[in-house]
Amino acid sequence: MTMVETKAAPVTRDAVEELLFLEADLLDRRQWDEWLSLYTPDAVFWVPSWRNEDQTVENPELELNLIYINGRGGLEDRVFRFDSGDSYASLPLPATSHVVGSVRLLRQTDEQVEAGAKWIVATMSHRRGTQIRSGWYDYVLRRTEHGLRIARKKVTLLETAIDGTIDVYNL
Amino acid sequence: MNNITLKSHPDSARTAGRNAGDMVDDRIEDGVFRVDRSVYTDRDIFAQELARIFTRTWVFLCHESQVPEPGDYFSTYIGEQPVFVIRGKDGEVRSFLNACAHRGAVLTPRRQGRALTLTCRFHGWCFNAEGRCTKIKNEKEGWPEASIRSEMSLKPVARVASYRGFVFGCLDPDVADLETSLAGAKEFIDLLADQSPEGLEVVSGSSDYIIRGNWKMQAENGVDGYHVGTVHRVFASAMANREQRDGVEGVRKTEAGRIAGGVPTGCYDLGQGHMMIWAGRSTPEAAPLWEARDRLLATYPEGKVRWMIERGRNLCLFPNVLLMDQPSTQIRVFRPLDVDRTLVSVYCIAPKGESPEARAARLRKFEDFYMVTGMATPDDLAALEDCESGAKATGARWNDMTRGLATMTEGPDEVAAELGAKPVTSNSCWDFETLYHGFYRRWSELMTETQEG
Repeated sequence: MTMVETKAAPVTRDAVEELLFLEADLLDRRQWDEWLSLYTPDAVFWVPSWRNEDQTVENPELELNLIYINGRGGLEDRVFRFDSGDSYASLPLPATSHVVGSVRLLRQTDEQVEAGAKWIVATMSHRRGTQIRSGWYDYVLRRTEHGLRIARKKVTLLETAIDGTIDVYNL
Repeated sequence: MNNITLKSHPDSARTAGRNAGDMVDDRIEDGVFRVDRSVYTDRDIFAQELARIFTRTWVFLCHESQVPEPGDYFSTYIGEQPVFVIRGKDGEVRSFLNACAHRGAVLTPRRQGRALTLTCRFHGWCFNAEGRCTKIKNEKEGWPEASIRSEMSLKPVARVASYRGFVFGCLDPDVADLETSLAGAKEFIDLLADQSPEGLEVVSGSSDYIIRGNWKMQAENGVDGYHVGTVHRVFASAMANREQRDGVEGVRKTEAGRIAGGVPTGCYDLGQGHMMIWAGRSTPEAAPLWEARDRLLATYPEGKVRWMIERGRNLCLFPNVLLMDQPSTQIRVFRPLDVDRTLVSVYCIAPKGESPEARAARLRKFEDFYMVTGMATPDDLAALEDCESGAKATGARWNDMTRGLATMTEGPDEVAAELGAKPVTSNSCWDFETLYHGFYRRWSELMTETQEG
């Protein structure tokens, strides 16, 4: 059930899917600047670690995360490193294929839209061949004059012992 | 093309006729110290390491804060053997082989949990936190004459001891006591343990990752200062960009000065295979511990506080743990899975009672550098994995470890003396490789000495 509390025209699931699919495609095609432009300047990118076998951490400030980036600049740092040619693990950079599905609109207001989705990403690296990982996405998308932008992306990664390189480009 | 090698082929032919005793070429008086690269690839050597090193030395198990209350357990491994640590009703920390006395099923369903009685989920046998069997399902029907419970206790890990909250276990009852075995590492562990009067705590959340490389490569890499300026140059650049862009101040500063160089550094062979590197902090006021400086100065000698706050340190305790206090604070435990596969578990350890600002800064620096999903550790792993691959080039046999030999000195240097620490050797730069001599001498000693019984 989608909760709508909006005076503006409601955002449709199609529009949300279009944004999520665009993000996936920009990552796979390594169009980093276009990818970064999908995020608001104050965007949060959060990959919690697992607190125990059942729960991820819930307080990103005071618990340990796999990735916790506060502000788009932190995403730029990541791109800078893996695109620099000077990162041992990122030369050559693994190729990726993102599949995003089960997209649901959870809540929307005049300011923002909350949506959930599931993902499967294939990562092909010369070190490990092709590896398949999966997990969940929880997005907060902000309505802006340029359309919907990502204000928050939480990625829940289903992997107990990480075997291979994981960064913002293959989540 | 698919280059994956999940298991290397047993290649004992290439090292036929060689044994562990030939693999450390220690002729330091002639300026030679080198290690045969088959120590990273030879399956027979790996099997001997499990039998001779991991069963006979003190192996790090956990930090006491991971088992704070009676019944709290922590599941881990000594080499390949599953064990668990559990705190009894009496407050005592014990450790047992993690195998039911009946059919050997692992008893702990989780890595960490609480259970004053551990019930085997296979046939329902029960054990208390002292390892005694307290219940056998339908015991009388099976053994009508007399109870067998008293003979069915769990096998204890022969020796368990804690040094300043760090818990170690050894499967050999005749091992020297823990403090003796920690040798020159003790004073440097104290630098962590003394950071808060309330002690240290492992922060919630952790990560495990796999290195497709030999466990000794992780030990070496954790105290290899030489790679920092090459492998982590890109990290330093990213941090410089960030600080310029965001105008980062105070404890949120990223402290990449050690990577760019220009700070004093050094390395120590601490005896018994333990090793350490250190580097001066270019911006000590960015250390999360900086807020405690006045309290520390009121409690400890100035030299010790300088070591705590102004010098970042990576300490490797033979054979399986690194204690790091650089931009953040880390316990990094590594476990051999196979000759060319190692499981690493990382935990952030922090002084209890620090401010939320310091804790948050400590965690963010941990995530930036130490996490396998961060901006430095993946580059370390790639380098190690290339060394594992390169070690299979059998015509190129030796790793030279004489870098810095000319400046190595016996015993403590002036910096170690500020702390009253007693390294076996000291050296004046963390780029130098003389600290590995102690590690490989200890390795060689354990791998070649005649075992009794």
